[in-house]
Formats: sequence, structure tokens, C-alpha cells
Amino acid sequence: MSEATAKATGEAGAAPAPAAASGPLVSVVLAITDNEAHPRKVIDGFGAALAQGGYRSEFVVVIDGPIHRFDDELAELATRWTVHIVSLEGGGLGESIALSAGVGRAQGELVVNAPPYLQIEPDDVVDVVKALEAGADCVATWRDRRVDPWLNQLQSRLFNRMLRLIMNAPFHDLNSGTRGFRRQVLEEVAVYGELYRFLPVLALRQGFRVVEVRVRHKEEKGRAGFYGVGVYLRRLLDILAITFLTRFTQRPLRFFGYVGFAAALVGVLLAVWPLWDKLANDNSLADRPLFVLGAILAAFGVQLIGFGLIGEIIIFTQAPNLRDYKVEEEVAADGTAAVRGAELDESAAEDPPAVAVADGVSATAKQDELPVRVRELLPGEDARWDAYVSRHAQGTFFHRTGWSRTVGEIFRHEPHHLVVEQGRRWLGVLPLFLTKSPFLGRNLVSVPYSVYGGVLASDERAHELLLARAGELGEELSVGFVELRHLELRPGDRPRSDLYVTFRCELPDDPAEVMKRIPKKRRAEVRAAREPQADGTAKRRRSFGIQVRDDGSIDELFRLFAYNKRRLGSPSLPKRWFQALRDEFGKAAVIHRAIEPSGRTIAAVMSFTFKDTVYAYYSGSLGDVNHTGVNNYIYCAIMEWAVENGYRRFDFGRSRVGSGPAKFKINMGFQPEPLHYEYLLVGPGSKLPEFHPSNPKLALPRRIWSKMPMTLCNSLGARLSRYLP
Amino acid sequence: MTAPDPQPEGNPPAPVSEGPACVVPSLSVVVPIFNERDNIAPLHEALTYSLRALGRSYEIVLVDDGSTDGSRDVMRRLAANDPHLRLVLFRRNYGQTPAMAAGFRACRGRTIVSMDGDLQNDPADIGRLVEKLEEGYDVVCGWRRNRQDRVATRLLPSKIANFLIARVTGAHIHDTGCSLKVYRSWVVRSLHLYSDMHRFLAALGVGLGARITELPVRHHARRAGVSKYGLGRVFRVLADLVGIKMLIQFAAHPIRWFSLLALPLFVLSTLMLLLGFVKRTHEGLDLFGDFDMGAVAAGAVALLIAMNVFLLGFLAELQVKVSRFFRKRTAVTAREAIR
Repeated sequence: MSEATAKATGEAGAAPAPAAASGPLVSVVLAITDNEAHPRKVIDGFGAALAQGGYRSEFVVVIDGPIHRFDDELAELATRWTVHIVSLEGGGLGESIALSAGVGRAQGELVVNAPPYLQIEPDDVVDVVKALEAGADCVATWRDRRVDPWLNQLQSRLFNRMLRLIMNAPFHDLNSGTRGFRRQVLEEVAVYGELYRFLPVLALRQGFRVVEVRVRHKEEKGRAGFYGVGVYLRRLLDILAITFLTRFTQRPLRFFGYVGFAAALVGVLLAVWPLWDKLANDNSLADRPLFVLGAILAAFGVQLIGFGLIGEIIIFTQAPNLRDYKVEEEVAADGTAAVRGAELDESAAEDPPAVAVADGVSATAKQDELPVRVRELLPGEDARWDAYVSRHAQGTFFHRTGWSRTVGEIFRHEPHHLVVEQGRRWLGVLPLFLTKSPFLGRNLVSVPYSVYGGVLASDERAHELLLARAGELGEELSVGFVELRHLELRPGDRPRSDLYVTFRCELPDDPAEVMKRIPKKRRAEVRAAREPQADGTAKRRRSFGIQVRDDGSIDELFRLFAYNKRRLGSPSLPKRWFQALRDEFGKAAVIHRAIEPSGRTIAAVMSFTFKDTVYAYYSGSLGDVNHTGVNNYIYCAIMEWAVENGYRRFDFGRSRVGSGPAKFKINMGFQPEPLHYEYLLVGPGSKLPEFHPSNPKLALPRRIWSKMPMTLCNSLGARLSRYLP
Repeated sequence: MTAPDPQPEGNPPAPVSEGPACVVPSLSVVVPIFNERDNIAPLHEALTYSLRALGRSYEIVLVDDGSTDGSRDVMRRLAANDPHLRLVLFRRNYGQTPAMAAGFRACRGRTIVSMDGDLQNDPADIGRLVEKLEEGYDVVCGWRRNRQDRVATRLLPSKIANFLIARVTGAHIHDTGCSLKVYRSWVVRSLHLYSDMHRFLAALGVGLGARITELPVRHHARRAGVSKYGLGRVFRVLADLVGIKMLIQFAAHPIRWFSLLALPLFVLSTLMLLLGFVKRTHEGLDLFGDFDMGAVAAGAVALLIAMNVFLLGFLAELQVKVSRFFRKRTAVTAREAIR
């Protein structure tokens, strides 16, 4: 292998590129195996995109064989970018070898492998790198919305479907040649022949974190039609080989023994009756094909078991050389850690100013020159998102990824969370879910099942960009409207809904103060509910001795919540939802319950805590306990609990203007605050949603619903709630 | 890979005072951890207490099997303050055997203790097990005499599995599933654990010629966390059992095991062929008078495959011959026997 390293210059070029050379180094490895290559477009495209993303880049071009067509082109590129050229003598060594030769030359910790022609939008390579930075070890790309001829698409889709089926691998587009790796992956996962195609699968099996990132497809050479028969055959054999390598190599006997035993058993069962017939009645076996089949199956089964055993012996004798686990890190006795690989994620998670701080003012200045870009949230960036939300003044509990994860898991809505960033600094986020419903149509909602959501941005420009992108996304997904559940007023003028108001208050410093703030009449009710049980005398009201504790269970909450919902004529959320919220948020999802002296739970409220706020969110109470004032008391108790636990604000949640709950909250001494729910009307003829409980058209269905039996309501409601985000 | 160290270790090493941790400890405790956040600190405390009481140098190797509940942070915090603690951290969850194997690789003591991270084993038993080992055994297994688990899902399958393992492998251990075991380091170093092999450690030890015994140990109900076992394992254990039986009994000469597999086929094929060629008539037996093609075909197939299986045995024999494992095994066993 001869190596010719071209000049390593960056500054001379005219490209906007090397402006911000402060970020980590990304090595792009291209393997040129034939004359069908366009390295210029790839290198210019990727180089510019990476520079704009705030990364330094280097390119390693591996030339497999005596191909000299690109020499001039590469020399010219080397004046603009850092380009290393590795030429493999002889040639025809294949992609796997070319890749490992290229990685050997590369210096970056993050390696991107791409075909030598422009297969994806160059900007999207930044997403691949960002996913790596967010903690992934290997990134597979998924060319979503492909642009190559339909025949190719069909073949590719079949291939991937088959892979998913056989190997249980969660990838949609293994044919996509653009991948990102941490160097370590390529050093540890051995690939040969055409197996490089399956690198993500192999890496996954070896315990690396592999994620898939959607990219925009840009096929430069559209070669339609079929490949030769040999290509398909090789693919098929590769799949078989990989399946065996990844599945049955650990304990061969488990597979072969199982199949073999089953075959033998079936065979014996098939053969036994004809044999008996022969021995007892001397009926010839000659015209009994089942007997022959059975005999063959039985013998075949024994042979399979034999194969399993031999596999077992090979594995056992080779066990000293096999290590089927990877140690990420060993911490020695003196407590010092030899950290490998882990540092990068942490620095990435730490967030924006990381880059700016490192290089002081000059880097900040460079940051500001970089273009601003809106993209979707990548896997592994959840921690960073959450950090942004909790730092942002308008960030609410419902902006958190925990809420999004739960929504995705329980209601299977598709997340399309947007991030706007400049270089590596985040300027804003917008959580979005694509919801599909027969009542409301296709819409983008920020955020479903919550009362607040919408844009969080560091400046107005980012805000505008996010909204513009949300609109575009809405058009791409052909939705009706984009719903932004803003709590505060945001700049700009958009259609609004004034259906809801919210109720919030600052909490006092002393728990005793809570009671004093409640209007007199309600205060008397709360007192009556709280004080030990006593029958009313002529002077005093009755008191009920109700206690409120923060140890409510999901069962109790769900029972009461569903009961309440039915009474109001709307479907309840499924119990799984509450359970999932509990699992996701742990202590940040508290359930308070009110208990009668008899031990019966008569009211329960699930509240969320985030930053300095307690959100009283899901509630329910029995219908026959209104006279006890328990509804007033439980909220009063939650506020007291909040004060005791150091929270500064209480959020009573939204209510429809003029509805019962709204009156209840006003009576409790809260002031209604308008909510600024905003809509981007995207689809043709789309208008503000009319499917809400105030709509008179819905009065009858709501009446009917409230009369249905509880079990039916619950099971139907659990299904319906998916369509009522 | 280092050769096993079969040096006699009959005399208990003199108690070593608390020295710097870089001195090779005499006792290593290996504990795989998977999502045991709430158990680690109590476990560490209990282990430290009972190991100090033994009065010899020790190390604790905690292997984090890709926990996702923050166990790792707890372990790091502990390791920062305790020079006896060493950590091996996995990238993801690989399972108990790889965790054990990694722990065994990392530990340096001459006596090695393995136990569970869920506090169901009592560290106070380690002392007795080590004493027993020094009476002249190579492996001492814990035996949870009165188990504290739910009956249906854990106890019964485990009883069946243990019975089968004991019967088939000849390692007469009541409770192979108990993680609390004490080994001499050579046993552990000669065994290369993979897949679910930890269950058969004792049995494999028998194959190596190790002297094995057991001692009842205490067993507590889980304090925190969730049990990670279920019923589904039983079937896999069965398949493994067949493999293990072959490995420990015939590993040196696998052709015998394959012959055993081929033999019934041979017999069957002979019978089939006889049945096909010989016909019973009124005058007695009629040889080659009248073929029964069905029987002949079945016999021929069985014969063919019997030959095949026998030849597979030959391949297995070759594989064993080229590997170093069994040569070493015989050496170890021989030296142990002489001692």
C-alpha cells in the first residue's frame, strides 16, 4: 500500500469553510473503487456543511486500484480541504478493506464513511455527526423519501424488510452508504468482503449503541433496473451468513438441537404406524411414502443434533479466544478511572457555550458567523434537550422529553421535534407530534395531551425559523394545522384560540399562608373538610376529618379520574398512560389522595413538579362527596405540600372559559389568565379545530357517553384517547 | 491466555495486614451487578465488614452489566473511596455469564469468590466457604437450603434443573444456581465462560478434575429491586445440559459421543434392511425373494446418515486435537492427582 498525502491546507481556499475550526475533527472516508465517482461534489459539499456545523473536517480518499482519473481533481481539492489520499496497490480489494485502510489513516475520533458520489443532501451529514456526538457509537442513515427509480426503491425496500424479519435488526435502509462511526467501532468490529454493508447490525450485536438518522436522499447516478443474478445471490448468502454469525454462534446446540430433536420426533411419529402395520400385519412398506419421509426426517434430525454438537465443541475449544462482551471501562483499585469513549458524550450534553467558552471571544465571534439551521432532534440528544428546556424561562414540564417519550410510547404519535442551532449552539426547540385522528384530521401538535407547549427560543430569529420550518414540515406531511399551545404571548400574529384560560399563582413562603389566601367562604369549607369528624351543632357546620396524603396509587387515581371524565361526558385516558407517566417521572409525578375517616379514598390528584412549579394536572373525586369540601381541600393541601417542599409556584391547569372547573378555580381565589394557543393553518381550507367540548354539536354524544357503563367507557376511552390529543 | 496455576495451596496463607492495594490480594470477590442501584451500597458495606473480619487481603470486583438505573454512579462513588474496590463496566447488558467471566479476568486473588449483587447471598458465609476450600477442595458451592423465592416461577424450575444437572453431569451439587461459590483461581482460569455457562461451572469443574463440595449458606429474600429470572430459561438449560454432558464426559474423545449418536441409527438401518430383504413365508424365511422397497429405502437413508454422524465425530476429534484446551486440562488433572 503506497500512501501519498496531499497538502494539508485549509485557509487558502475560497470556500466559506474553515471559518470555525474549533469543533472536533471529523474524518470523512471515501472509497473510490471504480470510475463512477464524483469526489469533488462530496468533498466540497460535506466540507462546507461540516464547517457550517462548527466542525473541523478531513477527507481520506482511498483509491482501490490503478485509478488515476481523479488525481487532478483531488489535488485541486487539497488546496481547499485537508485531503489524504491512500491508494491500495493492486486494487479490487473491496470496500471493507478500503474502509479499514482509510480509517487507519484518519485522525478524527468521529469517522463518516460515504460513497464517492453525492448520495444524500450534504447538509445532512452534520446530523450524522451530531448523532455521534450525542452518544451513538454507530449511525446508520435512512434515506427517507427516496428519489431513485422505483425499481431500485422496491428492491431496496424488500432487502431491508427481509433483513428486519430475519435478523430482527431495527434498520430501514442498510443499503445507504453513508454511515457514521466512532473510531473504536471500526477497530473492534471485523468486517470482510461485502459484510461492511451490515456493519450497523454487527456493531449492534457487539454492544455498541447504534442509531438510525433520517437523511434526505439525493441520488446523483440513477442507475435503474436490475443487477445481475450474482448480486442477488451474494446478498442472500450474506444475509444467511450474518444471521448465523449473529444468532447461532453462541450456543449452536440450542438451535440445532432444537430443530434436530423436532425433526426426529416428527419422523418417528410418521414412521411408527406403517412400521407397526408391517410387523403385525405384514403389509408392505413399499407404497407408504410417509414411512420413507418419516425415516428420512428422523435420520436427518440425528444428523442435525450431530452438527449442533460439533458446533458446541468448536465454540468450547475456542472459548479462550472468544470474548463476546466488551468492557467499556475498568476502574482500578486506586479509584482513578481510565475513561474511554465516555468523555465525548458528556461534553456534548453539557451544551451550547461549551464551544464558546473553550476559545474565548474569538470562538464566540466565529459562532455568530455560522449559518443558522433547523433540523429534527436526533436520537441521544434527549439530555441536551431537557437541559435547554430547564434553562429556558418559558420551558414547562410538558416540553420535556419525558413527556414526549411517554406520548410516543402510549399513543404512538410520531415525534417531529425541531431544533434550531447555529454551529453547535442551540438557539431554540419546538416539540411537535404528528397526530392523526378521524375527528381532527392530520395535524402537528405541540404538545399532545398537555396544556402548554410550543416554541422555546433564545431569540426572535430562531423563533421565526422554527415556525417557518414547522409550517414547511406541516406541508410535507400534509397536515391541516400546526397547533402551538403557547402559555405566554409570542411575537408575531397568528390565528389564536381563546377557548381556554389557565390559572396560576405564586406560593407564599409559609404553609399557613396558603389558607389565608383562599376566599373566606371556601376557607370555611376547607376547614370543615380538614377538622376531625363531628356532627354539626347549631353553631358550627359539620366537619369531616378528611386527610390528604401524597401516597396515592395509580389505581385510585385512574378510578376517580375515569369516573369524573365519564360524568363530564368525555373519554378517559388509559390507565397505562398514568402508569407510564409514573414510571417515566418517578417522584416528579406525585399523586395526592384525600381519605375519609372510614379509609375510603374520595379524591385524588396527580401533580407534576418541574423547576419551581407544581402542576396539579389530573384529578378526580367521587360524585357524592361534594358537600364535604374535599375538592377545595385537596388543592389547598397540595399547595401546602408544595410550599413545604420548597416550590414557589402553583399551576392549577387550564379550563374552558365559563366552564364549571373555571368557576371552581375562580372561587378558590385564582385569576384566569388567557392562554395563547396559536395555529399555523397549513392545509387548504383548514380552520381552527371545532372539535372541543364546548361545541354544541357534541352535547348529545357527551350525554350518551355519560350514561354508558363504566367498563365500556374505560375500554372505549382508552382507544379513543389516541385520537383526542 | 495464561496457563492455569495448579500450585498446591493447602496451607492457608498467613493473614496479611491491611497493605496497599497494589499487593496481589489473597481473596477476590466478584459480583456482577445489573440494575441494583439500591443494593450496591449495603452490599459493599456487608462485604467489607465480613472480609475485614477474615483478616486477609482482599479485593472486590464489581462488574456493571450495563445497568441503566444509575448503579454505575453509585459504584463509582464507592470506588473513589475504597481502594479495595475495582470496577469493570460493560457497554450494555450482556448477561450474567459474560459479567462473571469479565470479573474473573479482572480479579487477581488466589481464592476467588463469586456472588450475586442482589443481597440474597450473605457475605458472612464467605469465611466458612473459604475454610472449607482450604480443607482441600477446589470448588465449594453454596447451597441455599431454605430458599426465599416465589415457588412457582423460581424454585420449581430451579429444583428440576438442579436435579437434572446433578444426574447428568455427576456433579452432586444440590443447588447449582447459587451464585455464592468459592474457587481456587486455577479452576476459574482454566474455564472460559460463555453464554449461560455459569450454571454449569461446577459441572465443568468436574470435567477438569476439580474436587467439589458444597456447604449450606444463608439466603435472604430480595430487599430491593426486581428479580431478573423467569420460567423461560428451562428449555435452554435442557439443551445446554446435553452439550455439557458431552463436553465433560467425552471432550477428550468426541468420536465416542458421536458413535453413541450413530449407533442407534446403525442398528435401525440394519433392522430396516433385514425387514426389507427378508420375507416370512409359509416355508420359513425367504431371503431376497421379494423386496420391500419402503423398508430398504429407510434402511439405506439411516445407514447413510449413521455414517455421516460418525464422520462428524471424526471432525470433532480433529478440532479437539488442534486445540490446546484439552492438553492443558489433562496436565492440570494429572498434576492435581499426583499432589
